[in-house]
Amino acid sequence: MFSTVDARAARYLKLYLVTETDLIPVAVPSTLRKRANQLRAAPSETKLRDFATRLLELKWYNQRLHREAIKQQLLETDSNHVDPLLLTNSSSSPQNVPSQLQAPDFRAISPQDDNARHFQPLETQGVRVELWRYQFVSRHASLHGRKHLEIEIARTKSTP
Amino acid sequence: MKFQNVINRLAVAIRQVARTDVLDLLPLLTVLLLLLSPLSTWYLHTPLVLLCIIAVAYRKLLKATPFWYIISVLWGTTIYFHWESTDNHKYLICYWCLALCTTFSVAPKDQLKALRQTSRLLIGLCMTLATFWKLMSPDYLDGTFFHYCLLVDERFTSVATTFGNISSTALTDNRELWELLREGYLYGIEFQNTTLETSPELGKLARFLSWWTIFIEAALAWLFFMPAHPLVSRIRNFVLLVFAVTTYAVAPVKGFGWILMLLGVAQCHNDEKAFRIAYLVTFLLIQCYTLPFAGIVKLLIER
Repeated sequence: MFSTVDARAARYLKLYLVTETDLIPVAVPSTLRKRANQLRAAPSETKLRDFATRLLELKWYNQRLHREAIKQQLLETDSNHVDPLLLTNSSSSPQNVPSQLQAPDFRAISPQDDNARHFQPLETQGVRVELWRYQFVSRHASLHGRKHLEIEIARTKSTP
Repeated sequence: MKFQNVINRLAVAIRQVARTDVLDLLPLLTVLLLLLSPLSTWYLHTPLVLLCIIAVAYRKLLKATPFWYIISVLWGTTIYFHWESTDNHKYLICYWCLALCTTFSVAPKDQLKALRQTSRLLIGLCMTLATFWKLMSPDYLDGTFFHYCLLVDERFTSVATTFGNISSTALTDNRELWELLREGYLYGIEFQNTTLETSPELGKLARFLSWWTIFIEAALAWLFFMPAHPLVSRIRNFVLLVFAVTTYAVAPVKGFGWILMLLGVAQCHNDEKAFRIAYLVTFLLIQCYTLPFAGIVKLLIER
């Protein structure tokens, strides 16, 4: 109902990939957008766990490295043609890049996706999902965010 | 001169439409509304569009109970699958389609009465629940909710800049801060609190809008549950029109405005043709509200 600040728009997710050394922030993948919206619309521990489990199933790759590979290929061959096969052999390790710069460059790819085999996925130990909500204080015109729910799931040996 | 001709033609067309039998007019306008409110699921939207096109070609379908039953099922299924993001007015549209379904299932002599009563109840319940939620929300009555909307909701930009003594640049900055609060963590900009740009006038405007909305919605709820009387009928039509003209000028939510205007036409008595015309004109006016007036005025001045 059009009557309160505390609606879906005021609840937001912060997602992190847990690696050996770092927490890498990532955006909600398009395949999980609907579930993210459901979680924001009616938050619950069950929905949060389900969301985190699904997030854990995804593979992640570094888009920026792929873009750099394309750029490199164009420079080396001096042509307008890009061979997609060359992009599958990117040897750079995404973990070497500081996470704050990597953040918007990581993209999820579903294991079922045919393109998944072309990319070298990031090695993750687990995922962390935080659901935040903000309040608006009219007197100071300020927004105050606070963590509402959180979960961290570690990858087990049986997890693909 | 040309503009005058267009206005005259439009006036004649609206009068003709208003003279049309309500039981012919409303299903047709509803089909138009359905076509202008796309559903998010293609496999439900495609059959709905096809059915609507067929019904426009074969008008008898527009008065068939099974037609409205199928439309309600398609619309309701979409709401079921997308409950998390479905706008409030889409629920009302679904109830309205069900109302048409039930209306055409009764004997022809009772159909008009059934439609009139159902639409009156729908408006009354809609306004009652809207008032109830506003009274129950602690951040509504003190103006917090509208203050927030005026500062970060893009739909309120025109009213905030016109009456709230705040620049559009300040509102753009507010929206950027709001965006960063939610997604800044992706770019290494992580913070939990932020202060938005505002003005004293905006706070007053927010309080006025809060109390005006609750007053007019409560009045409508009360009027639409009052027993039938010619004077009551005239007052409620007038108040509903004032509500639509004022509310959708501030918050241009076309779909909600349009469905309320259809319900308004549906509950009119036969001798209330002037109100029927007024509802149809307001239906068009709500579309006009979405035009970028500030941009048009600026363009005309620059010329």
